Amino acid sequence: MATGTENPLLSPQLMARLEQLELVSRRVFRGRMKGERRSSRKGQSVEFADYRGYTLGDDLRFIDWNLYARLDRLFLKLFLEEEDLHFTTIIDASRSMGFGEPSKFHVAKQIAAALGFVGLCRADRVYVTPLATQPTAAPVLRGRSSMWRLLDYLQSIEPVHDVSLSRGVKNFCLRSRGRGIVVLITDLMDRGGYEAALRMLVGRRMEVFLLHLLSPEELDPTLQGDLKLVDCEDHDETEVTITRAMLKRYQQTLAAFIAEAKMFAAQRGITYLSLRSDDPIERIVTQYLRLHGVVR
Amino acid sequence: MNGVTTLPWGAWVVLAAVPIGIIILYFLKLRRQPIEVPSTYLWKRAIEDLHVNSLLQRLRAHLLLFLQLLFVTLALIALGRPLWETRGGPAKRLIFLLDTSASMAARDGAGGGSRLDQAKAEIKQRIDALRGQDVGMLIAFSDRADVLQEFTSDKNRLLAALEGVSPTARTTNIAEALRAAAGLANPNRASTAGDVKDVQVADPLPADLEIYSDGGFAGVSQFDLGNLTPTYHAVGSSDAENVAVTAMSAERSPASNDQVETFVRIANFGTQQRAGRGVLYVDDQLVDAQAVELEAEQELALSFSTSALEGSQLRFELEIPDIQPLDNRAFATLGAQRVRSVLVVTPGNNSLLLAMETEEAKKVARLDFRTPDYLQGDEYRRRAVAGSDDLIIFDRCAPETMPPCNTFFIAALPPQQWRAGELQSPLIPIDIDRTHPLMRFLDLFSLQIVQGRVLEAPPGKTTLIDGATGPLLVLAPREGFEDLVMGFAIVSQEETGDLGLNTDWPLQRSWPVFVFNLLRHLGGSAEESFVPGVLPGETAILRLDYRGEKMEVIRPDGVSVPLDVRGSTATPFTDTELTGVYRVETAAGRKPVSFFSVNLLDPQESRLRVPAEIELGYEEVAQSSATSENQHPVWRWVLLAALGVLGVEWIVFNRRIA
Repeated sequence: MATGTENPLLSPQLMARLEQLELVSRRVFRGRMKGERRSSRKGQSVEFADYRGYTLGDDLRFIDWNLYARLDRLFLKLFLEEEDLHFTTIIDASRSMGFGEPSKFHVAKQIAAALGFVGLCRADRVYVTPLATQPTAAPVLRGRSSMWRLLDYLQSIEPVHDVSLSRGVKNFCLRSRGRGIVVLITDLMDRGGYEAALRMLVGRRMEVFLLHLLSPEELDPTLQGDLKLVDCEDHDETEVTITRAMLKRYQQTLAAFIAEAKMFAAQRGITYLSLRSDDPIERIVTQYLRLHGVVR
Repeated sequence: MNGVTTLPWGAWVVLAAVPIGIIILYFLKLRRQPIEVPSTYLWKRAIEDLHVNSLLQRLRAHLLLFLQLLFVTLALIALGRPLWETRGGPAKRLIFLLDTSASMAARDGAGGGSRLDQAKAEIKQRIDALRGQDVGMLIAFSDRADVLQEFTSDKNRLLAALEGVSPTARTTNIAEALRAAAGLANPNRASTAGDVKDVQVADPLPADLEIYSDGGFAGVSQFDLGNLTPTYHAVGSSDAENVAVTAMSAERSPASNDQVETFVRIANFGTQQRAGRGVLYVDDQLVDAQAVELEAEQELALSFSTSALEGSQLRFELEIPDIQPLDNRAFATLGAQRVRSVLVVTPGNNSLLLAMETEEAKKVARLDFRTPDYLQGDEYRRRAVAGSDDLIIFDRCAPETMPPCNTFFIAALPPQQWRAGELQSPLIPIDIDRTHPLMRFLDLFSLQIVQGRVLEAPPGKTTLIDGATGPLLVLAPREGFEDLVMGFAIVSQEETGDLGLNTDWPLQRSWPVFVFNLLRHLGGSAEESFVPGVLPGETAILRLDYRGEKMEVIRPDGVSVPLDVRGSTATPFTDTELTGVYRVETAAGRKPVSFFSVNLLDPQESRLRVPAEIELGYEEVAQSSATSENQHPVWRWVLLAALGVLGVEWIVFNRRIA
């Protein structure tokens, strides 16, 4: 099991390119603090939003005097508020993520760091957490200066959490109140299924990005002979005799599995992206995620 | 499809366990290499389909196992030596010659059975394989040939005849069986070649001679097989071990009448040293035993000295277990020492009279002295026809016809077959046959004979005293009896009319000994004390005191057979299949009259090693494999297929690995 912690999560060159990007939100959410994002909340920006009738106590500075002159009635001009964006990255930290070279978990952390850096540059509220049943010590970060805290925290987490996707997501949903963008980086290899977890995220009315990360071993297994496959998480044993036909059958099963996940995501407005763990992080973030509209 | 296998059933059981072992080993060995994977989720889903899927998928998973099993099965089939029968070719004539002699009872056939059982099983397969137009014939042979079934295409009749074959204790002589077979295959042998009147009604048809034997017989040299194509199917193993009794005799000791000297000869016909015990029983009571140890191919003589009464049954058993128990025992009997009736016809011979009046001579013979004119009387004729005398001594006289008993002629000739030379004087004896019982203990080199004639005897003679010019004392057989003729007289009538000695023999110590020997051996009393053995199946000639009673022979198995005694002193008895002691009793009083024993004392039957080839006429017939022209061995092809399967298995195995 290669963790790949010796590799730096982000190279300076990549960080320089990431500064140009921003996270794409197709919807407008309410933020918590003043930020660079339009908020559904009305507030004080330069962008006009609407009129409404004056009620006692309103700020007199926002009365449209021109309209009063014409209609002899008091109307208030409303402006769009610009607030920060809640950007959350959930990393599947189950043991199965430890496979691959570099490991899927390392790649997941790199993606989380890259996206988090993009968010921090745009003054978004960035929160990166592994899936867990217990509350984690994951910090809520804002501003570019928090970048190093983000990287430090990511370095510290290990793929040891034997938690199912649905329980981890449920735990996250119960604790976080904000809405916004959620990026779930996972291999979806959960015996209990991923559907409940995704439904929960959608139910929180968050914009969900599902990054389905698979290692080359899973995509093109190089196994052969009479084997006893042991599941690294629950130590479940499966006896298989690997033949050419068997490998073909596995490929068919894998393709069906990916297609199912894609269909499930599409039906619920989730952006599904399938990633290979052996792709370089630069390509994933600057080309692939950009192409699929996660960043721009 | 038939099979000829030489494997015993025990080996088949072991072989049948091989596939079971492979299955067990396969599942024991199938320890899959454990490999940790991120998740077995997808694999499980992939093989779930397989579980749902058909049996074919399972078969594919165990393809290697099935290939292994297929290979082993093919190898086992090849071991069974299957034969493929083709239906082509002309109709065949098969003559099955089945050896039923004693050696075929040796239990070293396939599956622990006897050789005869194995031979019968092989013939049965051949009969089963006969096609519609083929004909078969079955001849069983031992010391005689027995055509059990003439040529027929009816398999059931052949099988029934084969089923009826049972083992015998007889010796082997294939010549008669060959003649029977050859007579049927070569009918023109019986006709006169070149005779225009002798029309050939039957064409000589070639036939296959299938000999199922262990080869334990003397080669037949003067024989032409003609149209017969012989095939020798050897039954039994070529390294069979056997220890056997080859000779046995029991004799009263000359010193004491109560003591019996028993001589036994045993031989090891194997290649290994054998040891055990030789035990002598008298009337089923163990009386003596000796430890015996025999090197390979060694012979050993044992002697026992025991006391036994008249009519005792002696049984010797060799306690060395081997595959042929029949020849590990031998029987002998001590006959009743009855007084013999001897008629002496002489014009007067004091020397003879004196020698016959000794105490010992009186014990063995009842003497009746008559003058030569007695031979012309009715009393003598009745006596001669009834055969009531055991020995008649004709001193210087001769009967018109030979009586049915042993005779001793002194200075006279039997009416037929014998001739004598001119009267010579003197006669000088130069050689004496001292080994003959009649001449035992005699020293005759100083014998002086005044005059006499040299003798010319019929075939089969034994010269006991040979003179410088020709035989002087000759013994010759005659229809079961023996005639002893002496060419010179003991006493002769001199010119003066007085009787004078013609030889100084009566003055020598050897004279009464010779007369006693004469009474014992030609009178028959010695013969009784050592009853000669008869081979199984041979005709036993019984010399019985016939007194008009009905008699029975009690066989060793207790069955009594009525004996047809028709006045003659020599009665043949043929029912001698079993070895052991036969008792002749009077039917009325159950009084034992005589005994004789039947023994398999034949080194040829005891030598159980099967020869690789046999000599039949002018050709040597080598041991053949069990196939005929229409049966082709397919084991090679089966083995080739097995190797092919092995190759496929190798490829499959490598494809799974690579």
